[in-house]
Amino acid sequence: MLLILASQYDEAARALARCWSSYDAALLSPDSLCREGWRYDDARPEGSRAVVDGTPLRAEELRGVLVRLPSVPQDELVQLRPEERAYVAVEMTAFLLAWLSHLPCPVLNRPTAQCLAGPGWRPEQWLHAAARAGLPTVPLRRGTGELGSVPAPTDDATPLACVTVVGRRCLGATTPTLARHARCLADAAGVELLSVQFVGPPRAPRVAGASLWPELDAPLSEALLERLEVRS
Amino acid sequence: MILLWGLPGDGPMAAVRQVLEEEGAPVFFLDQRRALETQVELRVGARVEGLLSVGERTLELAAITAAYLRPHDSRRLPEVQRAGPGSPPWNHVTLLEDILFSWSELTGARVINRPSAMAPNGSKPFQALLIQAFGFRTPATLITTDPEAVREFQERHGTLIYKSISGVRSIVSRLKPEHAGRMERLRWCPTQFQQHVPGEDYRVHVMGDESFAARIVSSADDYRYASRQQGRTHIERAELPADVLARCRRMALAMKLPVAGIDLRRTPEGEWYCFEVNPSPGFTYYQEATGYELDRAVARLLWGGASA
Repeated sequence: MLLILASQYDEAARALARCWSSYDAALLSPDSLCREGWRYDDARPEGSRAVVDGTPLRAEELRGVLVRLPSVPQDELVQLRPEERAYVAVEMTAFLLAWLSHLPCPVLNRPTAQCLAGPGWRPEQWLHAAARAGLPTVPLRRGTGELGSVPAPTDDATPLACVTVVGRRCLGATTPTLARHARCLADAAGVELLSVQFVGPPRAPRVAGASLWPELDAPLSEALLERLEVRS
Repeated sequence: MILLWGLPGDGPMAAVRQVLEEEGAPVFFLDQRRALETQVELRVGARVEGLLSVGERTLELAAITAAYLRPHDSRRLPEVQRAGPGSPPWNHVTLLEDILFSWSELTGARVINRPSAMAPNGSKPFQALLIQAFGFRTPATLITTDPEAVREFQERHGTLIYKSISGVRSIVSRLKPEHAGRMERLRWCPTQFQQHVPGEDYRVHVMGDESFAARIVSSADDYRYASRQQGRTHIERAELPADVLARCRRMALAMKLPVAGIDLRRTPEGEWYCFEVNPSPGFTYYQEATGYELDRAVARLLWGGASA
C-alpha cells in the first residue's frame, strides 16, 4: 500500500489518493491516529502497525509514504475535547516522527526532528544553504515593526522557473543549469522532494526560495509514483 | 558580545548572567518580558547580519560571539495572552521569535543550544534511536492505541511505566492494576509504555569538554516529583567510569549540544541505560545539591567565544 500522510483538508492530497487508487493508495489524516490498533515497538519493527481506514496494517505492507504534513494540527482533532487537542497533537507528532523514521519503505521526505516532511527550514535557512552550496541567491531581509518594512535590495527578481526535484528527476527545469542547481540544493538539504524557485535572467538564475510542499500536478504525481514504487 | 535571551527569574539564566557580569563579560540581556518593545532585523546574503533593539539599546547581530537561549513561549506573556491569537502583539512576538531562532541557526557564534539540535528531545522514541548509537541501552518501548498490545508488552517485560512521548513534561508513573479501567481510553492518543528498569539514577551534565556526574537517590518513580509521589530525593556528587563519561561527551558533541543534561540509570547488573538527553537542563537544581559550579562552566563556554 502507498500512504499519503496529509491534512484531511488537503484537497490536492485527496485527489492524488484517488488518482493512485489503482496502486492501492490511501490518505492518512491525523484523525486516523485516534483509532485502536496503532503500534510502535522499538525492539520489534515487524510488530509495528498503522490503522488505515479502520484496518490495521503491518509496516512491511507499506510500499511508500508521501508526507504532506509538518506536524499534527490540533484543529483537526475535533473528536477530542478542545482543552486536550494541543497536548494530543504534540504527542501524535512525536509519535509519527519515530514511526516514520522506523519505516523500511521509501518515505518522501524522511522526517527530521523539526518537521515530519523534511527539514523545517525558514526562508533564510534555504537561501543560506544554497549560498553555502555555491549557488547564486537573492538577498533576504525580514524584520519586525519598522525594521521589517524595508524590502531587501535586489536587482532582477523576475520569476524565472520553479523546479521540482523528485529523487534524481527534475521537473520544470528549462535549462541544465536550473536542474543542476535544484538538485544541488536538495542534496544539501538531504531531501528527495523539493521545489526550488529561481529568479533573474536565464543566463544568470538565482535561488529565491524553496518549499517542501510542491504543487501536486500530473507530472509530479507520475514522478512521485515512480520514485515510491522503484524500491518496492 | 554575549547574548542572553530569556526571563530574568529563570534559575539557570540568572546564575549564568550573574557569573558573566561578575567577570566583566560584555553581556546583552534580552529580557523576554520586554518582547513587545523588542525589534529585530535579519539580513541574509553573502553574510548573516542584522539588528536587535530593545528600547534605546541596539545590538549588531554580527557582533554576537556567543548566545545562551532559554526563551519560554512569548505568547504566554500576560499582555500577549490578553490580546489573543491573531492580534498585533501576538503576531509581533511570533515573528520576533521566528527571526531570532532563524538567526540562531545561521550565526557563526557559539549558541547554547541551537533549536535544531534541541529538537530531537521533542520525541523521546526518536531521540532514543540516536542515543542507541552511543552504546547506551534504552528501555524497551511500546507506543500504542491498542490495549491488547499493552497486555502483550507487559507479559514480556513485567513492570511498566508510562510517560509522555513528546517534550511536554509529564510525571513518569508506574502502570498499576487499577489503571486497567482506563485502557479503553488509549485509542484517543498514542501512549508510551516502557519496561521498568531497576537501578541507580545519575545525571551527567556535559558542558563542552567538561562533565559533572551526580547520583540521585529517590524512592519515587520520578525523582523530580518525589514529594507528590510520597517519596524523597537526595542528590550528591558521583564518580562514574571514565568510559561512561566519555560516551556522554561524545554523544553531546555528536548531537551538537555544547550543554546537555543526560539521564542515566545503572542496573544492578552494571548495565548503563540512557533515558534522555536534555538540551536545556535546569542545572541549578543539581548545582545547589552538589556544589558543582555548573553556571561557571556554562559561562566559560560563552565567554570563550569560540564557535560551536
